[in-house]
Amino acid sequence: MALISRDSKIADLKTKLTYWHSADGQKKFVNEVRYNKNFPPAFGTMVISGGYYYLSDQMVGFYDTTVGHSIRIKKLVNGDIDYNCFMQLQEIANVKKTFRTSRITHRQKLVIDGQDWEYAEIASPNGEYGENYLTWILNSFNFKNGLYVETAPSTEEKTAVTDKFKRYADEIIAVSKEIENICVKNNTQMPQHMLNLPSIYSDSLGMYWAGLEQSNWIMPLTPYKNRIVDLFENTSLFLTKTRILQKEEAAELVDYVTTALEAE
Amino acid sequence: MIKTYTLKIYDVNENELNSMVIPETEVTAYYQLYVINTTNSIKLFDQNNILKFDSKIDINLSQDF
Repeated sequence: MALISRDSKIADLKTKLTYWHSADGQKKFVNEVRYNKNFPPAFGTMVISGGYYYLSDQMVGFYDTTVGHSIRIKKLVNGDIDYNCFMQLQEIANVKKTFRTSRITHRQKLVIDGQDWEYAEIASPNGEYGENYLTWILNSFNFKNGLYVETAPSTEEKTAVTDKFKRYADEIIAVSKEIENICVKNNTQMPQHMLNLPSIYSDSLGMYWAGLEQSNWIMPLTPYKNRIVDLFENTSLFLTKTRILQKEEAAELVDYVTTALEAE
Repeated sequence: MIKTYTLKIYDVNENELNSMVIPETEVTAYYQLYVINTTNSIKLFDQNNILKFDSKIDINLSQDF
C-alpha cells in the first residue's frame, strides 16, 4: 500500500469508514446485495493489489496479504479491556512460547464523531500471511461439484490432514487455557471468536493466531474445554462430509482432542 | 498477489443473485453472512474459475469453524 506516514494511514482508514456509511457504500455493500433481510450484511471487503480492506460499523482495516501485516481502526465498545487483555496474552506468548500470535506493534486512541476509537498496527510473527485450515483444505483438495473428493485421498494426504488437525488442537488448547486465566485475573469476559479456526494460520514456522488482537472480550466466561470439543466435532464433520476422512478416522481425531483436554 | 475467490450467491431456486470477488481468508465470514439462517446457497470459484466449494454440502461452516 503506497502510504507512508501513520497519519496518512489513519486518514485512509477514516475515509473508508466514511465510505462504508455513505449512500454509495451502502448501495454497494448492502442495497445491491439481495440478502436475507433479517440479516443485512454487517461488513464488506474491497480487494486491491497486495491486500484488502475490511469495512464495518465498528472496525475498518487493511490487511496486507504479502507479509501478513495489518492496520485498523476499531471502535472501543469495551473501553481499554480488549487491548489490555490482549497485551497480557501477547506477553505470555513472548515469555512461554507455547503459542504464537500476531503482535500489536503500535496503538493510539482516536476520537471519531465524538466516540472513542483506536488505531493499531499489527504484525504477523514471521512476516508471512500463511493460510488457515479451511483455505488449506480448499487449496489441497478438489471437491467434485464443490461437494466432496471424488476419490479417497492417499494415506499420505490423510496423514497431512490429521497431523494438521492435531497441531490445531494443541494450539487451541494452549491458548484457550491462557485466555481463561487472563479473564479470571482481570475479572472480564472472554474474547469473541476465540475458537475461530479461520483465525489460526500456519506459516513456515508453525501456527499463529491472527484475530485475537481485534476481538472484543465480551463473551460469557464459560469453560473452554466443552467448547473445544464442540468445535472439533464440527470440524471433523466437515472432513467426513467432504469424504476426506472416514467417520472412524474423524472420531479418532475427536478422541485425540478429548484426551489432550483431560490431560490439562 | 492476493488470493481470491469469486463468490456466487443463489436463491432457493438456483437463480444467481450476486457475484463478487472476496479474499480467500474471509470465506467463513461470507458463508455465515449469506448462508446461515437463509435459504440461499453459495458457490466458490477459484481464480481459474474452478468450482471449489458448494454450500449445499450442508456443513456447519460457522464462525467457530
